[in-house]
Amino acid sequence: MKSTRTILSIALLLLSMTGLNAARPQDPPLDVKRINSDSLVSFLRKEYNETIYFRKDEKDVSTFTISENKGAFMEKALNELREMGYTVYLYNGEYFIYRGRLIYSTLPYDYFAKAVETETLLEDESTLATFQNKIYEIGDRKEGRTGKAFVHGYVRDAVSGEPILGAAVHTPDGSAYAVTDAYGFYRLQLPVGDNVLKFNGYSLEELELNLKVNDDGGLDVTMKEMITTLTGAVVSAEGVSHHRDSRMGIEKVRMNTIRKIPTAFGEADVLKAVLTLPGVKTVGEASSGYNVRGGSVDQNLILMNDGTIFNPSHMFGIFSAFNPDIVSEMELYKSSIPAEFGGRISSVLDVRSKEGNSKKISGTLGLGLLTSSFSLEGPIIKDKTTFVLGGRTTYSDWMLGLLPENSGYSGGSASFYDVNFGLSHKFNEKNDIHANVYASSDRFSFSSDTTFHYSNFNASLKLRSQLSGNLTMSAVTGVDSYGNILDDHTFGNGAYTMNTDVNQAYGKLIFSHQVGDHHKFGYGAQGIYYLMNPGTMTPYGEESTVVPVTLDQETAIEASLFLSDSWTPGSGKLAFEYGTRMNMFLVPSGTKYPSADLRLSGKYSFRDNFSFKAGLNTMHQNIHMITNSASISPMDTWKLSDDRIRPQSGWQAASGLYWTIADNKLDLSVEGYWKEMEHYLDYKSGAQLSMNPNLADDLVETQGKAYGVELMARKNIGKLNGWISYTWARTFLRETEDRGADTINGGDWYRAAHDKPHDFKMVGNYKFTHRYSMSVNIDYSTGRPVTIPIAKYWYEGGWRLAYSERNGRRIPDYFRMDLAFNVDPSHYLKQLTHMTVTFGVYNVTGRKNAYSIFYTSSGGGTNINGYKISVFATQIPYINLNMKF
Amino acid sequence: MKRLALLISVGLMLSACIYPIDNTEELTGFEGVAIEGYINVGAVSSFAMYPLKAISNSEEGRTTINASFTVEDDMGRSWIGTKAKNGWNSDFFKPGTSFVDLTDADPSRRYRLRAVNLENNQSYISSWVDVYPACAIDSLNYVMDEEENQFVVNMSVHGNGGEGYYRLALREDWEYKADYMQSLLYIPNDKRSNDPGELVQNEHPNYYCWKKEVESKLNVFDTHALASDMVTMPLVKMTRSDERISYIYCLTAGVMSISEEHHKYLEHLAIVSDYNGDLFSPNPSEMRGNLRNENDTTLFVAGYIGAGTMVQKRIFYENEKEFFYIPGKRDIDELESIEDFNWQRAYWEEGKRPVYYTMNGGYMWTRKRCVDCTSKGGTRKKPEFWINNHDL
Repeated sequence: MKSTRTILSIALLLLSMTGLNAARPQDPPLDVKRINSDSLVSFLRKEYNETIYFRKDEKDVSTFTISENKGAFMEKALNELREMGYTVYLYNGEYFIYRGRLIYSTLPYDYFAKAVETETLLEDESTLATFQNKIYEIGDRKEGRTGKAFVHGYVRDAVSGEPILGAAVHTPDGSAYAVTDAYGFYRLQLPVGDNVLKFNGYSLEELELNLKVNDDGGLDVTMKEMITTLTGAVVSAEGVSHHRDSRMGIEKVRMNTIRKIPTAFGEADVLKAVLTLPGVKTVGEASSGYNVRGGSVDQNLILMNDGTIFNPSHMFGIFSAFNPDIVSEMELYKSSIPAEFGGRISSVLDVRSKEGNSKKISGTLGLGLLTSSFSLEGPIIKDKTTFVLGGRTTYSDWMLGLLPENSGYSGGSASFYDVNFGLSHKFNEKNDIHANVYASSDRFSFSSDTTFHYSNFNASLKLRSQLSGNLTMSAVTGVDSYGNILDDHTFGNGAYTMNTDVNQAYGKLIFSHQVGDHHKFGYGAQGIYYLMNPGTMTPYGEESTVVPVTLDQETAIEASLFLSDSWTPGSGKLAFEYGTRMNMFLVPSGTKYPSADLRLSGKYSFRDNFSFKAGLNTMHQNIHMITNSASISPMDTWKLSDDRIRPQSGWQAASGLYWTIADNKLDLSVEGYWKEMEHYLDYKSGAQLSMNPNLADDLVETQGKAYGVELMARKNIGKLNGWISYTWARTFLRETEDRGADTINGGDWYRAAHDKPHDFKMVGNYKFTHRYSMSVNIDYSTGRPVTIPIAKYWYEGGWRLAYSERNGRRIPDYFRMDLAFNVDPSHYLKQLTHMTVTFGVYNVTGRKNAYSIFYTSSGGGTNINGYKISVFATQIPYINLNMKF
Repeated sequence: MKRLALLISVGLMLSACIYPIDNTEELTGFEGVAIEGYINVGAVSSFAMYPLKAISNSEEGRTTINASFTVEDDMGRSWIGTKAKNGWNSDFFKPGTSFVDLTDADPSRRYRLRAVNLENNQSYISSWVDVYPACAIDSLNYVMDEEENQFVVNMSVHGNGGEGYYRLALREDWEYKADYMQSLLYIPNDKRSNDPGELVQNEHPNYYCWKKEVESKLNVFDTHALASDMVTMPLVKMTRSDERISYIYCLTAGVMSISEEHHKYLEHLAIVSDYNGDLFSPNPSEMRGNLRNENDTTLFVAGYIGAGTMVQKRIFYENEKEFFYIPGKRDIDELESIEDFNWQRAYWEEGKRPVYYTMNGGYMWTRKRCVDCTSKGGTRKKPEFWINNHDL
């Protein structure tokens, strides 16, 4: 803890030394006295060497007297010009100052369509706003109406009609601010009268609309993808929202960013993108699952369209379960986890699929070395009902067949497929419904005797309703299922088939309620019914004499109520989010595990671009993955808390500093955290994890602690974009039960398998032109801890190994650099198809990174030799084709 | 494009590699011993004590600690171990030097082992263990699977009232032949001499050799999931071009009924010693057996002392009766006729040996490895239980 504080202090000191405050005392003072606007602008041009286009209003006779340090003079002068009625507009690094006129940076969408004059939008109506040269009236004109009115609406993609999540909607001075939700919905309060409302979104062209607000009303907006503004000064939504939101530890990555991150086989991969984020680690390449801030792999709630994905990987972790052609975006909550989410104590990964193009039929075809994918989307009823369908499959079987006979894998096979289907229907402006189905299947065998199979299935139905101008409701219900099957016919009459599965049915109701200017409440309830089959064994083949056995099914109900409030008092410098989630876990024996989770976070913005945040989260988890390997294995099963196995619990305190510089192009952040976990399960030596009716006898409880500091610099826009992060973090576990000499490490703290103190990551993309770009991915980390033998002894015909402390050594440090060259499609609108081609090399340096170290006997047991496994031990070139139509 | 993809993909699969690493760590501050053996009631039991060694220790073979062993029963009787000569158990475990004659022990009693390290007087004791009844090997037979081109040896075992847990030990022996019978022996002259030397009748050609493979991995199995305490399973699988079945092959299987705890110990030891490091391997950990150091119970003692009887069965395969073996690709040299003035050069410079003389008075030679079976690693000493006398 002491070292954590030290590092935090150093980081703060460094930040303060690099020019935190733009108005430093050593800035030279500037003075102007009683000069007119022309002279003031000339003065600004000369002093700041800026390009400023100024059109003086003929009626302007104002004079200006300003005395300020140089660092603040410009802003003050521009503010005074604004007070005189001028509009100050920054575009492409150049200023445009004018009064009584409008200047447009882009042609409005539907430019050639018939222009519509000013229109009035009533409270229960919304209309599509795309023209920037128009004044939109919101609400009925009412005599004497003063104060503020609610403006709400949807922000959608201009081409596909799909909702845009995370777009910032705000007034130029930031006095009113909102971010669109997963359905593109926003709501904010504006003063009655004339307003300017800006819409910013990552990789979207900025939109600025003039509003005349009379009363509450709706305004739907379409935004266009930014395709040619490579040098444009576009404010990213993240840049703005970063300092507005009191929550922390939230990482959002969009698919167009994910697609640029090089991967082993060239296919865009959501989970691999997650691994490039600070605070996220994995035990090794090609391993399923990931670890967030010291948590284990089963402590991450992975959601896709509200359904839980229990195994997020295909082919042992080489590919993720998410079809990149279907995914719209993903959000990872590492620290401030919204109260609506619960059930896991480390993180939530919320992956959302597309809703489907509401304008026209479109799709993609992807071709890679090991996989192919497709997607199709479009309207069933234009602007009302849309569908999206996607699928992937692999053809890796042929490759295994090419391996030499003595490799041991030549007779093996490995294959998978997954299918997504989504249907959305918009009843009216206020009500829509969404259905999603996901199914996947993996099957592999490395010998003729044993076959593994596992599958995911998720189906959900979500109804979203805008009950009033300031109240929305979402109701979602669904089923999730994960199962695995092992066919083992190694033994003649002992051949068997074993399967386990976990199933859950859930319902969730969420209300979002804006109350007044400063409070936004979220509240609701969730219920989950669990049904698990811990194991069924049946005979395989006619000769088998295996007795069919089915372990008792496990069931439980988990009910939760949650309430949170996002409170932004005053000007917005200060903001809080606080909430609670009350849980009750019931098992049939009558055992109850009530729990109350806290969600607290707050922020203070020293400036618009610099803020401090802190938060505290507590979480509980009633479902445990049963595994004693470092990586998720295909045969891992899940176990519910019961009379003997208590729920896991954990808390995390975190704080951070966030600074946006360089015209809102560069976000800098430092976050520190301390986390503790209780009742985390470990295993006794020789534990039998499958088909064990008394599994609790083989389990031991441990407690864990994790702490660390994450530094990150992120540039979302411009020719060069990407992020660099460095994480220093530690994770330790300790067995809480005293089992004498059998206690793990004698009851002392030991390193978790994913304890990798130093972690450096870099993801960069440089656009040469709008079509050609290059991506680089660099990953360095300390080698993970392993338990290695410290002695050998002869026993029963061979050398055997003696182990000492758990995870007492480390494998060598990990380093990998990947490069990719991307050719994006041209923008000829008449072209029917658009082809994206990616050439890349994974592990450019060919470093033989160790996945694991193991020792085994050879020479008839007369020698013990150590070996290192490298999963990708050489450069892996790839090419990936993706066609859009 | 297709070809490129093929090359890249194959390269990828081969890129998942395993590399040897050096382990130069010395054994410091970690003390303990390993004690092996079974209390073989009604027969001779063998026990041995081994020291811990650093992983980096390249010393081959085993070194035993000079120790004394005493078996005790719960009625106060004790049997003291002595240095004894080979028993059949040595075929499997090479247990060491001390044997305890338990032929008069009562199988209904409980037993434990006491051992003393005579080098430092540290004393070790096992927990009390029940005697597990001997199981029976019902059959041990081979199958010549022509469809799969496989030679498979299967075994059927049934228990006699044990807990259904078993320890399996395997030993393979096979006799094979050199490519040619060397009926002539060349007696060369000095290397620089021009005298061609002479050929005599070879009375002891290295034509038949034996090899042996004792399974060093710990094998355990159980019948708990089965309808009865009886299991049939394949023990060995090999292709029909395997050298082991080229002439005479023998498999000896030993099975012993053990306790559940004993089974768990051996299974865990097998996993952490032989199957660690896979992508999905369990995290290795140390599991204690049923032995403790009486002077300091925290010290490391490896091993589990069980009580029972090892039963064994042996099977022979003779290719001259079955003809299942199909020679694979082999590098066999042609025979060539060599005139006597070239014998010295052929022997000294080309490593050739005479094979036989021809009807027309010539002499056929070939390379040494084709006439000397020991050059393939075998020995001329046959196992004592072998079915012929080819080593004479």
